[in-house]
Amino acid sequence: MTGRDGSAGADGASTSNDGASASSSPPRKHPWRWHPSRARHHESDSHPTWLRRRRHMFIVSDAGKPLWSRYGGEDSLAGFTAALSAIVAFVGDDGDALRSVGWLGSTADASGARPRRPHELTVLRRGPIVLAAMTSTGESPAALRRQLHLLHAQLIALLTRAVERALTRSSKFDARGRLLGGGTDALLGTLAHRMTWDPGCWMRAWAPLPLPPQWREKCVRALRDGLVRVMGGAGAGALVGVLLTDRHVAAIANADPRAGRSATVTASSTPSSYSSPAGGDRRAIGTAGGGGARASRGRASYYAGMDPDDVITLCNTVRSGASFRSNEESFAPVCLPNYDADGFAFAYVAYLRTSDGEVGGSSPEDEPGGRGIDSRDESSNEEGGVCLVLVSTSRDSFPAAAEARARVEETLRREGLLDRIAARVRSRSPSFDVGDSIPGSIAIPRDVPAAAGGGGVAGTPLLHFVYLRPPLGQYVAPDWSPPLHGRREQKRLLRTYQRVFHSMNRWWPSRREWDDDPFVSKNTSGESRGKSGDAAEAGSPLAAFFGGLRISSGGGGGGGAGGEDGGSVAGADDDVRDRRVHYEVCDDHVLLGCVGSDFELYVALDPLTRRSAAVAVCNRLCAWLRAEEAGLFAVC
Amino acid sequence: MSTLPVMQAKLVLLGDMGAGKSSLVLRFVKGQFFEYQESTIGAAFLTQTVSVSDATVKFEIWDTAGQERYHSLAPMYYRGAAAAIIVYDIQSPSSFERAKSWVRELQRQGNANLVMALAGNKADIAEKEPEKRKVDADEAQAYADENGLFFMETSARTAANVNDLFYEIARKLPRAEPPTPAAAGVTLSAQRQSQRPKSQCC
Repeated sequence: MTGRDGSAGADGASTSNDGASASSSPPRKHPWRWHPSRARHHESDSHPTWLRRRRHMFIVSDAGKPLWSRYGGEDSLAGFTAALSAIVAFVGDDGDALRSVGWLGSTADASGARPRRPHELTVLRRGPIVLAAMTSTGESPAALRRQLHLLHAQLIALLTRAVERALTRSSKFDARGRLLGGGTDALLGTLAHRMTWDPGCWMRAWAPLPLPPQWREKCVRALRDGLVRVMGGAGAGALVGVLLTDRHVAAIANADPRAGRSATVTASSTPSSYSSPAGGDRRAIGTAGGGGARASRGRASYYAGMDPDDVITLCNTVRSGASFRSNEESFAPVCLPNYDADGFAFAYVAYLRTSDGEVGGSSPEDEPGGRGIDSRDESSNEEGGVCLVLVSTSRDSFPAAAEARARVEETLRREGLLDRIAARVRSRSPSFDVGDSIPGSIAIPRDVPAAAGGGGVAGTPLLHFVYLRPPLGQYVAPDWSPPLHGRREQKRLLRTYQRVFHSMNRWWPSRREWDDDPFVSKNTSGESRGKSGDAAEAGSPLAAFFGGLRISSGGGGGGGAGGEDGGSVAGADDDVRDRRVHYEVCDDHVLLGCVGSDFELYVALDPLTRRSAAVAVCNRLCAWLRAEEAGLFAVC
Repeated sequence: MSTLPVMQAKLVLLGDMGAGKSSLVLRFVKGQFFEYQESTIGAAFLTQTVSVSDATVKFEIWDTAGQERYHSLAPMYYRGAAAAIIVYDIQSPSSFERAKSWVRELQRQGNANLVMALAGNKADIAEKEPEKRKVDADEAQAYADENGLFFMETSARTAANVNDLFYEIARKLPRAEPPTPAAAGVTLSAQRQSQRPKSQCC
C-alpha cells in the first residue's frame, strides 16, 4: 500500500491470480512445528495454493536466479523471480530503491469466502542479492524489511559474504545449486517461520531463560572458563560460548571479558559490519582475524558483545540443524554476520546430557572397548536438552573445544546446574500448545503476582505482554495462557505487537541498518481496526504511568531496579529519545505499548479493560518486571 | 584380550550429499537407521571402538556434510586422518563421480598411510529393484582396484556390510607399534603412487 517509489506500472508480473476458495489456511498440522515439508517444494508459481500463501519470502540474485523461496520449489519459480527482478531493476534504473509495491490481486474472490487482502511486495536489496517478501498479512513494509534483513543475516551466517562476491563476479553463478542445496535451506525456512512466532526476530532480541542470577553467573563463569582457560581465550581465537535450550538462551559468555561491558548502558547500536552496501572488494579470509578485529568494529555495546541478530541466527542454525541434536559432537562453520561477515567462525556444538536422560555422564570418548554396536541410544533425541555452543575463529579449535566442553559440562554438572536448567525448561514447557510458539519465559497465572496483574483468566485483565530491553538485546514474554490458546488469536496478537512496535518512535536502535526509512510510518497498514491514540499529553492518566515508571528526563533515566552492572546511564541520548505511548482498543484486546528510556513494554489486556485500569496494570507489571529483571534477563 | 594395544584412528567420511554417510555412521556407532536422515551441517564427530584380532581400534569419526559449500572446509576434517571412507549412492552416477573426485583430492594430499575405502551405499535398493542400480559393482570394484582402494557395497538400512567395512578398515590400518607390524599400509601407498596418473580416466 505504501507504494512509495515502487512502480506499480510493472504489473506485467502475471501473478494477479484470483485464487479460488481462498479462505483455506494451510492445513493444520500437529504438533505445530516447522518441518521441511512445509516448504512445499512441489508447488510452482502457477500453483493456486502457492499463490494463496499469505507470507512469501524470496531470495533472488539480481540476475533473477532464485536462491531460496519460502514456499514452492525454487526451480519452478523462474517466471516469478524473473518478473520480480525485472521490477527491481526497472526501479533501480531510475536511481530509486524499490521499497514496496501495493500488490495486485483481488480482495474478494469468486467463491464468496471472506475477502482477502491483496499481496504486497516489499523488497530489500543487499548487493547482488534481492530479498523480497510478498505478503497478504498486513505487515508493514518496515516490519517486513526488518525481517528480510534478518533473513539476509541468516543467509550470510550460512555462506558468508563470499556468496555476494561470487554473484557479483558472475551473475550466472549457481548459488542455489552450489551453496544452498541439501537441506540447509531449511534453516531459512525455520527462520521465516520463526519470524511469525518469535517477536525477538523483529525486535532484534532473544529470549533468555529465566534463571536465578547466581545460577546464571555460574553458567557464564563456566563458559568463560572453558573459553579462556581451555580454548586459549580471545588470543587463540575463542569467541563466545552459548548455553541454549530449545526455546531460550540460558547464558552467553564472551571470551573477551570486556566485551559487552557497556551493554547495560544505553548506547546506541553500532553500525554492523556487513550491512554496508556490497563492497565486493574485501577478500575472503578463511578464518576471521584474531580478537583484534572486535575492537575495531565497536561491537561491545550488546550483552556479551554479541549482536542480537548474531545470537538469533546462531541459535536458529543450531536448533534447526537436526544433525546437531542427533550427534554427540559437531563442528560446523558458521558466520556471525555482525562480527565478521566475510569469514567463517567455527562452532563446536554438543547437547549436554542431563541426568534424567542418562546418568552416564562423563564424556563419550572415554568409554573403552566393549561398547557394542548398538549401545547408548538416547531417548533425548526429540526434545529438551541443553546445548553448548563454543565458537572460535580457529578452524583447528575442535580438540580444544571438546576439552572445554568436558570441563564446562563437568562444572555445570557438579553444581547441579544442568539439571536445574533442564528442570526450568520442563517447568516452562507450555501445557496446551506444543511446537513453535513464542518462547515464553514465565506464566502469567503462576509466576506473576496478583499485584502485578497475574492470576487466572478471570482474575486479571492481563492477557499477555512483551517486555524488551534493547540494550541487552533480550526480551521476556509469558507463555500463552487462556483465553489466548488459538493459533489464530496468538498470531493476530503477535502481528499487533509487531505493528505497534514498528510504529513507535524510539531512540533505539538509532540506526536501523535494515531500513533507511525514517521510523515514523504513521499507521502503517490499514489493519488497525481500533482507535490508536498518542496519549502522552500531560494530564492524561499516562502521566501517572510515567511517574510509576520513574522515567525522568534527567540523566539517570530508568534507574529503577538494579541488576545491571553497567553503572552510568549515558545521558547523551536523552534529548534524542522520544518516548511514546500507544493505546489501542480492538475486539480482541486492549493494547498498551510504551517505549521508555531503556525498555519497551507491550501489554495486551482484556478488551473490556478501561483505560485507567489498563494503565494501572501496566504500571504495576512494569514495576514488577523491573524488580525481577535480574532473574528474567541475562544481565551478569 | 585386555592386553590388546588400543590405537586411535581418525576416520573421515566423504561423499556427495545424500549418499548416506551419516546413515552409515549412525548404523555403525549406534545401530540405528532413519528413513529420513537430516542433512549434516558442518561435520559430526563420533567415536566407536572395535576390536580386531591384534588391536583395539578407537575410531574418531568425522562425518562430514556433503554439500558443496562445505567443500573448501573438507581439508580441516581429513587432515591427519588415518582412514577415509568415500561413500556414493549406487543409484546415482553423479555421486560416484563425486566419489572419484574425492579420491583424487585425497591422493593429492599425499598421505601415504591413508587407508581409503569406497562404499557403494544403498545396496538394499538394488536387491529389491535391480533396475534402480545405476553404478555397477564391477565398475566400482575396478576403479577401486585401480586406485588401491578397498571397496564394499553397503546398506545402512539393512546394516549389510556396514560393520565389515569398519572392521576391515581397522584391520588395514597401519600398526604403528613395533609389536604389531603390519605391511598393509606400505602396500597401499606403493599402489597409490603408481596409480595416480590413471585416475584421470573419467
